[in-house]
Amino acid sequence: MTGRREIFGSYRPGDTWLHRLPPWAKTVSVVVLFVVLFLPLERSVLPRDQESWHQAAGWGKPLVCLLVVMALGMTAGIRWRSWWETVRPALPVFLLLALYHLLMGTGARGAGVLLTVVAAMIATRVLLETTPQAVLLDGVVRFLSPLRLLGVDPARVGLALQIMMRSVPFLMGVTSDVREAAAARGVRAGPVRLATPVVVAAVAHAQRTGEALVARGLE
Amino acid sequence: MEERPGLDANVDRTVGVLLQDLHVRVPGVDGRTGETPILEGVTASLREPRTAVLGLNGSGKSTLLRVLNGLMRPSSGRINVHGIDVVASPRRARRAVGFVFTDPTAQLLMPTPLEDVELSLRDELGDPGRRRQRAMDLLEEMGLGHRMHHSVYDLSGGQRQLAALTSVLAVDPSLLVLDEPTTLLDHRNRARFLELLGDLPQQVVFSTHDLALAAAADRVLVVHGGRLVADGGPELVDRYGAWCVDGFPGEGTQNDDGAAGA
Repeated sequence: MTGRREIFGSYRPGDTWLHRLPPWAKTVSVVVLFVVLFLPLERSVLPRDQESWHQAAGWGKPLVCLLVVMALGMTAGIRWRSWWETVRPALPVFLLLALYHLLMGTGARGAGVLLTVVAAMIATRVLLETTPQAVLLDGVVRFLSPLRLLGVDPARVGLALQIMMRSVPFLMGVTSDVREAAAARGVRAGPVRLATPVVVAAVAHAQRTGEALVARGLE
Repeated sequence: MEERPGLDANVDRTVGVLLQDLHVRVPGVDGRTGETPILEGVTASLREPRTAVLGLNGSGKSTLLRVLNGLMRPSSGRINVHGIDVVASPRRARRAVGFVFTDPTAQLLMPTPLEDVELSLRDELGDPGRRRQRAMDLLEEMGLGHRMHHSVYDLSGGQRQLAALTSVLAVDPSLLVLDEPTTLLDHRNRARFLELLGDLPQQVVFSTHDLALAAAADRVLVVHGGRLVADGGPELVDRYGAWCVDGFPGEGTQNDDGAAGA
């Protein structure tokens, strides 16, 4: 199967300061960044009548966050192509959002929303490109370890998460395969036409994955 | 690979693989009622290092392999692999029997080869650092060191097959079962795979359509219509080739020709 893209990217081995930074520090930084990005701080800080300032701050904050995250990412050797790969699949949605805000005359707020989402995506990309997934999931498993008291096996949760992440590129590959198969027969496959074969493939994938787990004695 | 006695102390490789009057039936297919037989009365005792299972598509050879590692439960009959009763303790059997699927993408559960091998080692090595090191060493041994951090989707077919094999061999199974292992490989990768297979200390049972591969085995089983129609040495391979064209022994008759009674 061809044409698999990865929105969030996967670990690229390296030896930069971001690669060496402990995973918990990176994760906490990303969480803090998300809080800063998504909490409407200005509203409480600024008086209501300074609407223009408010709007400017609405896109100023995420822009600053975005630039800072990108600058940090570049010191870790993350290339322009990675940023582009992250943003590209979401472009249609971004375009719709931008159009909506332009039509409603809320361009500044639209810019704020878009920059917030892009900054969050880029930050996630930096985390995932500089930290092996296994290390991240070990962290998640440790974080969930108190759940053991409730009879939940954190290792099992971690495994489920990992298999889920492994399935994302598979499903994207299936989608592009189905689209190509349709195109090869001269049909343009829209979302409705795509749905059935993709769902069938997803179920088959789930069954095979279950079988592979059993075969490897990991059930 | 060194012996790890902690895995299953009761595994006894000298016993071999024993199949006794094995039947597998599934609920009726094609809208018919009743049961459809997939395997009927298979009996064999395999002690040879390499056993090839030959058969046409739908002959039941994949089912035969699946039964060996408890992936499929027989409707009746007994299977014993290296001293483990597969029907009674399928979990133990799965630990002792490594299974490699035809399509390695179905088998690789993790995003990268390294993580996949680490997953195999999870029960065995509790310490993440040691687990990682062991996984790296194993991949390095297989010549996949330079690809261990890559997405499994970015690997070539041959590399994926090697990665799947590394994950399965990581827990040092005593029997290795391969379902059409060379079907998706090009000639160079096939040659490399064969070389690798030749060096493995494990007993190996594999199904294949590749007659040259089957001829390299010490024992050959021919499955047709769910029955074991021939059981012998590599000399069977040429006859199998002829049967594919002229028809199989016992074809069209209800009774087994007795070759399975070994």
